[in-house]
Parts: sequence; C-alpha cells; structure tokens
Amino acid sequence: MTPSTRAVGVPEGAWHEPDRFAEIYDEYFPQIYRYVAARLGRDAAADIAAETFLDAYRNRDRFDPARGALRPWLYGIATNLVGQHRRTENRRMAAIARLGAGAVAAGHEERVVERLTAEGMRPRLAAAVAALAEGDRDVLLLVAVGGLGYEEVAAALGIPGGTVGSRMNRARRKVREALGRIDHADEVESHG
Amino acid sequence: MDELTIVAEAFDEGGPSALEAADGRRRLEELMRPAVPEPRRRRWRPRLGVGLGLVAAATAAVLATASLGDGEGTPALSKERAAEQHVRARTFLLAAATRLESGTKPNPWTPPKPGRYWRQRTLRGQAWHVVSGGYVIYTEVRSDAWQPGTGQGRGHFAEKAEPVGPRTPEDVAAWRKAGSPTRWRAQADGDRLDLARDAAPPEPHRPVYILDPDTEPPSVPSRIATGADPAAFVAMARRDAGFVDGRANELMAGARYIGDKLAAPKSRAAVLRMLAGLSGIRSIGTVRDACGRTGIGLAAPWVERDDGSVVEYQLVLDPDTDNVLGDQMILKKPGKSGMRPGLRFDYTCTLTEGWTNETPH
Repeated sequence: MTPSTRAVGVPEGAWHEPDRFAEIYDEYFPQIYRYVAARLGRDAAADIAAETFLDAYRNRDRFDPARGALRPWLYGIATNLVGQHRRTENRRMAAIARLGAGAVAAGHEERVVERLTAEGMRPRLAAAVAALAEGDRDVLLLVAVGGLGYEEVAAALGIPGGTVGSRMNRARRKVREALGRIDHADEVESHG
Repeated sequence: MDELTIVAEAFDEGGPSALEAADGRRRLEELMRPAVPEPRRRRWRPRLGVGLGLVAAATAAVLATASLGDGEGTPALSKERAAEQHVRARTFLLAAATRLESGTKPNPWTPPKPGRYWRQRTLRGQAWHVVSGGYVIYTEVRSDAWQPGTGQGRGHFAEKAEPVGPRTPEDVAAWRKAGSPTRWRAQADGDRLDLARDAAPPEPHRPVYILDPDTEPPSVPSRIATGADPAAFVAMARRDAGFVDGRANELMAGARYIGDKLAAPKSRAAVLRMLAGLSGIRSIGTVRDACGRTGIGLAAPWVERDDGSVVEYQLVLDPDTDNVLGDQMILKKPGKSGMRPGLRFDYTCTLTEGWTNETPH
C-alpha cells in the first residue's frame, strides 16, 4: 500500500532534543523501512533504515525546520544510502524481472488474472524501473512508494520542483509504456 | 489503479518486524547515549608483536595510529562495496549472536564449573623489515597460560620464542641471497631494533582475552562472574582502551570478549550485537589466519601507523563454531616500512583453550 501522505505529527522540536529523538524513530522507522525494502529488499532494509536514523541523528544540527519538514529530510538520507547500493537494487530489479519467465508455465486463466494484479506486473515494472535513470527512479519511488508530494521530493533530493516534475513525467511515461505493453499482450492473448 | 499505486504495490515488501524495529532503536539509543571520556590507551609491548626481552632496547611508540575515517575508511573500496560488506558483517554478527544463545552451532562453551586450571595456548607474531636486506622476518612467540580455576594459588605462564627468520618463499630466497644471516637490524612501526635468530625467551606477558583496564589480568572467578552478566560484560568491552584508533580498536577489543569462553553465551552474544552496531565493519569472506586455518573474516576500516604504513585489522572466526580463531593486521600500504602490501604484519592465533586438571608442564 502507498504510505500515508499526511503530515506526520512528530514534534519538530524533538529533532534537536536527543532524548526525544527516539520518538522520531518510532514514528518514521516503519515507513522508511518500507521504502528501503521496496528498493533493496528486506535483507538490507533493516540495516539501511536504521542507518538513516543514525545518520540523521549525527547530522541533526544541519537540519533546518524552516527549510522543510522532517519527513523529506529522512527520505533524502535514506535515498542517499540506497544510492550506495545501486548494484543491490539493480540485482533485485533484475531478479524480479526474471520472474516473468516463470509465469509462462501457468494456465491461461491464471495468467490473465495474475496480470491484472500489481504482483503480476512486477517483472515488467521491475525491468522498466531498472532502466530508469537514477534520478528519475529516485523521484518515481519517493512519490509512489514513499508517498511524498513533489515539494517534499524536491526538498528530499535538494533539486528544484521543476526538475522533480520533468523527472516524474519521464518516469511515469516509461512505467505506462511497460503497463501498456502488458495490456496489449493480454488483449492479443484473449483474442487468440 | 493508476500506475503509481501499481508501482507501490508491486514492490511493497511490508513493514519491519518488531525485532528489526527494536534492533534499529537500540542502535540509535547507543548512539544517543552521552559520550564517556576517552579511555586512556595503554602501552602494551606484546601487541606490537614482541613483548620480548629481545626488544628491550626498542624505542617503542606503540601503535600510535590514526583511523582513516570513521565509517568507510577503506580507500581501495567503493562506498557501495564497503556498504555491501558492512551489511554482510552485520547480518553475520547478529546471526552468530542468535546461534550462540540458542546453541544451534556446536559451540564448545564450557560452563563455569572450574577444573584446576583454565589453560590457553596462543601464538603471536610480527613482521619486521630487514633494513639492509629488503626482505621480511618474523618474530613469533608461543605462550601457554594456566590460570587457577579457584582464583587461589599460583598461575603458570610460559613462553617460547620461535626462531626468528623469514617465513615466505620469497623472503627465504632473499634471505639466502643475503648470505643467510642470523642477526638483523630490523624495523617496524617506527621501531628499529636488533634481532637474533635464537633469542632468549621473552618476559611473561598477558593472556589474550579479557584485559580489564583496572585489574589485569583478572582471575578466573572474576572472569566467570563478569561474563555472567551481559550488561557488565558489554560495559567492560566498551571501556577497553585497546591499542589502536577508531573502529579497528573497537573490533579488536570486542574480539577479546567474544572470544572469552569463560563468559556465558548470552554475554558473548551481547558483545556480538554491540559489534554488529559498529559502522565500517565489513565481512570480507573467507580468510586464513596465521596458523593456516580458514575462517570468516571481519575487517575494520584501515588505520595508519606511525611509519605511514596502512593496515587492515581482521578478525578471523571459526565458521563451524563462530569462535575466534585469531586476528591479524594486513598491510595495505607500505609507508616507510618497506614492507609489501598484503603482508601479514601482526597476528595472534588461539591454539587451544579450556579447563584442565593437569599439572602445569
């Protein structure tokens, strides 16, 4: 499920109060974990998500609440850490993409039903996401998986809002193309 | 469904388990804990490889080192590679802690039921560069420590120096070419000293594990008592001043505690978890210790020594039992020492350890 896009109610002041930093962890760890797990898999997620908060704590003096909210800051750190694991992410996407070959053995009805679900679309989506430029991929997954708005993505990645928009457009087009091919294949198959 | 929802659902792996969330919180709380004053580093000749009478004249600036960065600190590796190895190390250490506590590996932990002596035999060694010969020789010492199980009475400690000389084929060849000398002027880590092939046995020094900064060496009952309490055991490991800087020191100090078979599995597991929380620690796969045994290698960020050489501290764990086989410093950059990269600069092997009712011999 897409994480909530609500403004999470952790007191901003806690950022500068070590004793209360754990509250921030409790509030945000599950969603940061989910974001990292979606990109790198569960094996690496616990460590990278925890590192996100350690990194945030070490650099908490650099956080300026006036320039943005906590959540994009945390997602920005997590995205940087994920960026140090590009090969892991690419291997994961490639592995998911390879799963597509296995579906051929399934029966026709089963195959069609499967393809109507997000799960069934994973292989082609993975191939499409793997083919995205790193910046485009970051934007797409921050929005789709992290549930961030464009302004939050801009703050998380430290890029202009316009850049977020153009990257997102490119990424969505590629994803739609991948999904469109699936729809087309289903159509052909159902007539065959 | 729009494509963003499809993407979110397609890659969703679910949220963290309670254990994962708790582990991350513990790491954060450790980081948030107020810093304790830096413990005073001790000077310990044996760690330099030779607490030996034969180096009494050495001008020891013992292991004054600088950590090359706190996290990555491993210039030859990409950040991504180092990060991958770190995840592997962390996963291994956490799994080893679980195995130790649950007894899923045949861990030869001896319960605290003392025999007459707790006996530990070790081998230590260090490389020295022969100034005029361009090759490397090693000093090696076998030690045999017998600590009384009751804490009462005399302990016994014996050391035997192995003949000093070259160990690798290329060094043996260079040594022969130089006329097979038996006395050398050698240097390592800023020290220069005269070495002889058949040196007198060295003065006694400490057993390998549990170097309590306050009362060294602790008695067997004291070790058992401390090792029964995970919190106290971890606290002691944290206080251990060690001999180098940075994460290498923490891994080196922690190794002595996870290797203490007098401690309860739960305490050693607690130290394994502490080490799992250290940044920059990497799993480097299968390595050999100085005694030729194969183990799982954990490495710390590199450290720079006095003479400009750069070394990597490696801890070698038995893949069957997770016990410590030994540790070693591998030279990564030669500095002024003249030694070649890849050389095993300094090492320790635990040969045997356990209770015995024998009479010291």
